Amino acid sequence: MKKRAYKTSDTTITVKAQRSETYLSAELTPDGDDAQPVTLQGEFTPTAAQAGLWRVEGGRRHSVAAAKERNGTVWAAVDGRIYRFTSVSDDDGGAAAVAENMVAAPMPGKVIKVFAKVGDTIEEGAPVLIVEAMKMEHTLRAPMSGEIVTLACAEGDQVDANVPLVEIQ
Amino acid sequence: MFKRVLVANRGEIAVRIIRAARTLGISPVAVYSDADSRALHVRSADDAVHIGPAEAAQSYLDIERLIDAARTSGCDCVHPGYGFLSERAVFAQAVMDAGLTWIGPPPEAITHLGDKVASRITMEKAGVPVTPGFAGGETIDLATYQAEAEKIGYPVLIKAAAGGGGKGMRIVRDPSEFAEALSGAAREAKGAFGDARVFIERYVEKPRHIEFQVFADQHGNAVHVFERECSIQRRHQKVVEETPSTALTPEMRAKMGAAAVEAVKASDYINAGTVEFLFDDPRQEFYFLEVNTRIQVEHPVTEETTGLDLVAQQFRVAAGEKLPWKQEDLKQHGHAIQARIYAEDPAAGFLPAAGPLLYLREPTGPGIRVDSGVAEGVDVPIFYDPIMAKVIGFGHDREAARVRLIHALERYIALGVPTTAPFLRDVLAHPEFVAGRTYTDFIPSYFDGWTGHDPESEQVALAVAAGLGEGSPSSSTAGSNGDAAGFTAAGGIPSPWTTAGPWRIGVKV
Repeated sequence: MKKRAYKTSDTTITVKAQRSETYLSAELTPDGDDAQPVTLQGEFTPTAAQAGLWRVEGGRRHSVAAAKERNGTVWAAVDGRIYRFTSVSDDDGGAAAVAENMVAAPMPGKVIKVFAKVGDTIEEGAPVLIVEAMKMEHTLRAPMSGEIVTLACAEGDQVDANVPLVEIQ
Repeated sequence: MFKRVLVANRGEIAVRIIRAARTLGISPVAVYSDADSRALHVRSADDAVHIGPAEAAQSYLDIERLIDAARTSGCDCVHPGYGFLSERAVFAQAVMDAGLTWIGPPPEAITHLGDKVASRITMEKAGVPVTPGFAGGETIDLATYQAEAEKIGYPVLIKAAAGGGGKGMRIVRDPSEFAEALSGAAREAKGAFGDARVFIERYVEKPRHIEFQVFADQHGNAVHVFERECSIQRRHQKVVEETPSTALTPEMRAKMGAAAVEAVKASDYINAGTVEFLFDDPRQEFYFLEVNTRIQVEHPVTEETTGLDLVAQQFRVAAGEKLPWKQEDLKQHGHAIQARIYAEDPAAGFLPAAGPLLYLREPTGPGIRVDSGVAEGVDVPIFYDPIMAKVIGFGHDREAARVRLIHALERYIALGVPTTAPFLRDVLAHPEFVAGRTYTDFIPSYFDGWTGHDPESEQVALAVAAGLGEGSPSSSTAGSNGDAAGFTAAGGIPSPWTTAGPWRIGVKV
């Protein structure tokens, strides 16, 4: 049995899970010193390779499915609700997030407008870049007031999601 | 009737056209870019022609390649679907010049109605009500536009003359934001349609979007096939559509339907189209918005409540057949609601998403229809409109349709790409939707900050992610990765699945 740690929207949770063809159990331990582990277990009826019906003891029966991407993101469906978790290894505690003084595109796209250059002073909330994806424009704004110290893209560049493009100090 | 059709589109509408073609005995030919070689529409057709790289400009928008594809595959007609080149008169003309039949309206009507400025003038002349506005000009002069906006009165709406689908559109509430919005709208219009012209009109604060399906043949007959209400929108794009509208009295329906038919006749229109109106509930007034000169994404709700096949009818009209119905023959029964499944993250401002579709299960059952363009194991590409599928619920009344659609959306399970399905399920369950109080500000009013998560099911999801998502069952049950090796079921009884080792039915290997 292995431990997995997943990042949810607000915390990191360590999950120890065991599964046979007809039984599924898991122990969930949220981050933090005073966190109490939660155990979910019950009879599991497979309906497809990675899906089934799970009757959690003390709870009700859920229709569940899960799948993992090559990049480590794990998807789970519970009664039509969809969750996406980022796997984190035990040592680093979390995937690299975009720092608070950086501007990054939230999705892959093309830079169609750059409003500032290195050395410019910019106010929080002012537009810095416009990135176009699927013919829709998305204005990226300064997360803080300050001076632009790095500008890592130009108009016409294709950029990836979550890659820092502008640094403000 | 035609022998072979080139389906000049992709995704769910290509699959839909392929189905309609088959019912008429027409052999469907698909086209595909590098990003779509394994796509569902390619698998569904009799033949498929590769037309270029993933970028739409060099594939699905490349007129020459499409005409070549139609010629080399022996097609005698072309169906454009919606989006891409469907409303480009030059494409319609190129198809006709190549000696093929265009399954759609005449290029002249597309040009005229595609120009939002010219069509406004036509509609005013025909007595179809329009919103107060400024038609704009060939070039954009900020001072003039600003003065006109003042005259119309804020808030105003800036729209692309060549536009549609929310692209090149801006709402301006404060005069100080006007300059930035005008240049943004013009730039987006230029990028999306190759035409930077924009116009301004009064912005109705709490409108409903109500449109009429229309059909006209080559023999001067025109009918409307009732309305669709499409008020539930995000970023000015429709996500839930239904018919009949909860807002219309029979008298208002007749009045708007008659105006829609007038709009069609005034523009020498042939084939399927949609006349869009803004409906001002408190004033009980309607304003002409635009005519969409193509089959619409939301056409299935009309089909479910009338029993018609609108796409098949497009072929029949293009083949020169007369419309088989007069206005009084057309009857609607029951109620239908459609939810659009987009590859978008509704918890993150509906950001478009793409990626591998790792797992897909679609709902089935009485009163449930799924028009899908995606398949498990195939990537949802980043290059195109993110629509994946449409789920339609039908019932004898609105409540029956709504409940069916909710259950269907709960059973639409896509993993690997975020979709709007869980979000739309909650939209349909909202008390204001249940009450039929659907206005175009519905989503920003009630669903700001929506996550779709609740603490209890999140715990179950975490357990499922670790228990099912971390490896294929063959490896975990056979114990080859050590994860589940030797695990025993409740009560300590060893499960045969964990202990039997590799085996086949009937033979121990």
